[in-house]
Amino acid sequence: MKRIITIAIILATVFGGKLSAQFDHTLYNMTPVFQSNLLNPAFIPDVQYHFGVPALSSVYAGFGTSGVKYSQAFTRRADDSLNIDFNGIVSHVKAKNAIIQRDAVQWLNGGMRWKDYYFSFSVSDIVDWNVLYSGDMVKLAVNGNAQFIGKTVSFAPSYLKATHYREYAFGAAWDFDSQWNFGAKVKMLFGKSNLHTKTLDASLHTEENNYYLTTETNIMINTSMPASWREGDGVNINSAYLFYGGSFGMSVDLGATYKLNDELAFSASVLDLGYIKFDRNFKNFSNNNVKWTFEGIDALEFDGMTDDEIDQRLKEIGDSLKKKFEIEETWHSYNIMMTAKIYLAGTYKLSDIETLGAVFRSEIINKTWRPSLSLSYYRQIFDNLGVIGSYTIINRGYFNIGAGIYYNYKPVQVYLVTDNLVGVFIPDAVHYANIHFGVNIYFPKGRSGNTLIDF
Amino acid sequence: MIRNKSILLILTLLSASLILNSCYKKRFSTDKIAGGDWNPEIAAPVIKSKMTMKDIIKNSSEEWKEYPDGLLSLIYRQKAASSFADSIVKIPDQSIDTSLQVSLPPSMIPGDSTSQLLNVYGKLKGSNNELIDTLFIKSGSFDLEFTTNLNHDASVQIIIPDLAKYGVTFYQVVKIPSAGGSLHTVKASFPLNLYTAMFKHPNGNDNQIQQFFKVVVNFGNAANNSPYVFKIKQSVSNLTYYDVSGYFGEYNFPIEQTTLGISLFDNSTVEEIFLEDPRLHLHFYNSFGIPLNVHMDKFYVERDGVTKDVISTLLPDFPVTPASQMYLFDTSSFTLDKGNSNIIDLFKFQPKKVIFAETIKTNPSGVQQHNFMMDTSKVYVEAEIELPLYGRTLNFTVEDTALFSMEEDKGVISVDLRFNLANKFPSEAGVQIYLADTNNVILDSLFDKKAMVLVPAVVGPAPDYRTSDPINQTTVVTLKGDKLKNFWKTGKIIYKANLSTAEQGQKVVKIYSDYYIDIRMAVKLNYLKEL
Repeated sequence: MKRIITIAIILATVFGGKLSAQFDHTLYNMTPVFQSNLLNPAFIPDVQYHFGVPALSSVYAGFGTSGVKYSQAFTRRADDSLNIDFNGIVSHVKAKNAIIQRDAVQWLNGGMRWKDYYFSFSVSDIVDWNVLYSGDMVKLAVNGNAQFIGKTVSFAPSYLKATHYREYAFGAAWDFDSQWNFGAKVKMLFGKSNLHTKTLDASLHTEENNYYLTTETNIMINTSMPASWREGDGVNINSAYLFYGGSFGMSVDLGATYKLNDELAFSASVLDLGYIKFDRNFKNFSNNNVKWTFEGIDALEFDGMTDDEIDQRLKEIGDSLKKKFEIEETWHSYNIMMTAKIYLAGTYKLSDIETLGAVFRSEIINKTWRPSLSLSYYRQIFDNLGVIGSYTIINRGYFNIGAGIYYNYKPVQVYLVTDNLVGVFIPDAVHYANIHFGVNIYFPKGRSGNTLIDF
Repeated sequence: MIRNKSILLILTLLSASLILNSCYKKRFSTDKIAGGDWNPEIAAPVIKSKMTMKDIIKNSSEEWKEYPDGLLSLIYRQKAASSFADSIVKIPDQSIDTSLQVSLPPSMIPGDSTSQLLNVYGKLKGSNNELIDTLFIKSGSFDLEFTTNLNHDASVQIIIPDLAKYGVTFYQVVKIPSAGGSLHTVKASFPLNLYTAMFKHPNGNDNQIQQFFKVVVNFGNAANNSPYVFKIKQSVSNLTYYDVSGYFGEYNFPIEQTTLGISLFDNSTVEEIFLEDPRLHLHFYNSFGIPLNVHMDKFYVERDGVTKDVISTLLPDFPVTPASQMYLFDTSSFTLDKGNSNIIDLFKFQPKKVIFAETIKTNPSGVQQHNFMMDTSKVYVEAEIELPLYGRTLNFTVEDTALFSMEEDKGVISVDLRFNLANKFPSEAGVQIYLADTNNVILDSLFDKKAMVLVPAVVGPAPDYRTSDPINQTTVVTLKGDKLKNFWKTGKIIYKANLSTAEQGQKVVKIYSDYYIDIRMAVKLNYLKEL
């Protein structure tokens, strides 16, 4: 278990600092930005073709916590050091809590229109963290088990899925008629590393009268990563890691838009329906339905023993305890399902330059439904400058005021979007923060004549 | 111009990104985590012990007896032994002088030889006029002195038909050279170990063994001066035996004063105790083939210098039967109980020891009969006290001390000790544990005010008095503040338990081997750790 925690820390260290994701809210209704197509493959940019500045077309950093905020977990001392605020942690943790962190960088990206179609491609590296943890687990760790006398503390729905993968996406959208657009993307995925708690059932019951401790554990943890990471010997990302062609998977994105009239439009998309099969550097840890009750030590057993004999007997008891909870190690490949997302959105056009929008997003992680809602106001300031403001409810955070801006200075498009402005500057004080920016090169419709295909 | 503006846009974006990244690192500076006050409260079981009477017996230094129905009894026993037989019945050194005449035929010429057979009865006398039938000799010396004036070379053949070793009759030859006619003495000595001698008692009160002395004379050149003087002096000395049989008469010998300790009342005070059926057994183990009488010279109990005599209709003399075979003990046992003695009163007295001393008398009737004994024959007296745990007691207070130390953990704010007890015994008890330093200075008591009270199980009807299901009870003790400080300073713990049988000591109970006390101790620990 210690090893698994080490691995988790390593993954967080490696990828925790460079965040990027195509799964944001405000951007969804900021359709002049080509990367809105990442959120709904039916979105068709209003340019002839475009491509991104390599590694800069789409950079996303986003994280969220539905439980304790960083600033609630730590208080700053006068000497600038941090103090762990155990009371703050306990008072803010909820029954079920999630931590998400999504990082993505688009290395290459391009798209073009051809007749009523729009084709796109992209190559991205994505790191996706999904962590669920129970409030009781935190309370148990912080305040001990005395508060749970006579009760069972379940670690459910504790869960961890951390994945680094490379995505080759090929998309097509069809401007079906004046009302409907349809789009789809097929993605070839190549897993780089993963840590997945397929099963993580654990509970602790403290018996009321004698404080007997009963634990039940059922664990199945899959890992795929260089052995040195697993052993805690440091992280060395080399070309063998970055350019491995195995651990293949596939996923699809599907989307549609519907224009009811000149004012109202609706859209929906389902993203990341797929899997990755991790077939290298794998190691699996399991502990199958172990139930054990500790009732205390039989003091009579030690009667008449010398100090050395007592020490030896205590060691034997400790060893048998360790053996009982021994984690079995196996080596086999495994599949993980991608975390699918569903977007449902609508826009209402106030005027030629103003649009109100609403986005409802949901995802299900380990049987836990995680919904979020965003409302937005978009205004086209100039032909080449648009701004958006948004209000998002996510991760039990109700004060997420977001904003976005794009500026086209032909042939360059620069954009910067966030769902929570406060989070950009004081991310430790919010439940959710993200930032998404990029630089595209575009060619407007009609200016360049035919599309590339027409050539 | 267009390209410059585009590059400027990109650079602006990159700069913003870097600034934000730097800002994030500062915001999430986990390397600056310096600590925090972790204050959990942890509950866990510590001790789970089911102490049955069987366990108590197993670990007890006392001797216990379990009756078929499971009733238990405490046993105290002590043996005392007499001296070995060979230091009681001894055969004294003794000698016999016999004077004879040897006459040679007148017609003898040099080179002739002649012999003369002398028949002698050797006598062995014991120190107590014993009649000895057989004597298997362990050691001893048979010494002969022949004094004669024979002027010819001669020899003496000694034959004792009833003295044999491994079935071979005693036969020895002693040469007596001529001394020219003057009176001279020749000595000879023979070890008697492993010879068996059989004696006859022709006069009814003596021990005789027939001996033949064959004197062979080789006639020489000297004259025939018959008759010649021929004196025989025979003696036995340092005679010891492996076994001996016959009749040994009356001997009196003591068994030294012996003390039987009763630890039941050590380290304890008892307001009242009433044992329903105590017994005191006297076992006499006798390997003498002789009937004995044991006279109890001293027989009393003692507590703190105060004595109380044992009174019984069986006292003061106990007839002890003889051993039926050599090398075996025969046992004669006598029991003093509430029907024939004052034993109940004796144990109300809470004695700490029993003292006894005896005198043994052999053949007490004076009637002559066949006796035997070995050199190792002896008499053991074993006093055995049997105390069935059947009775009642009030305020039986037991106190003991044990070393105890625990390294102080400054993080501990308070500890709740939770005792869950299930008592199958028909005894109620008030238990107190004192925390003391290494000099036995009491620092504190574990339980506040009054001791933890152990509720007795309900006692069933006579004659079994078995208890029903145990009654569970919980006692919680909180250690904090000064009490916790004293706990860390503790070097010894002193237990004090005040026991009474059910109904304030008025209920008669029995203690069976399946009785138990189930002790579960759990702790709730309030801990503060500065990380």
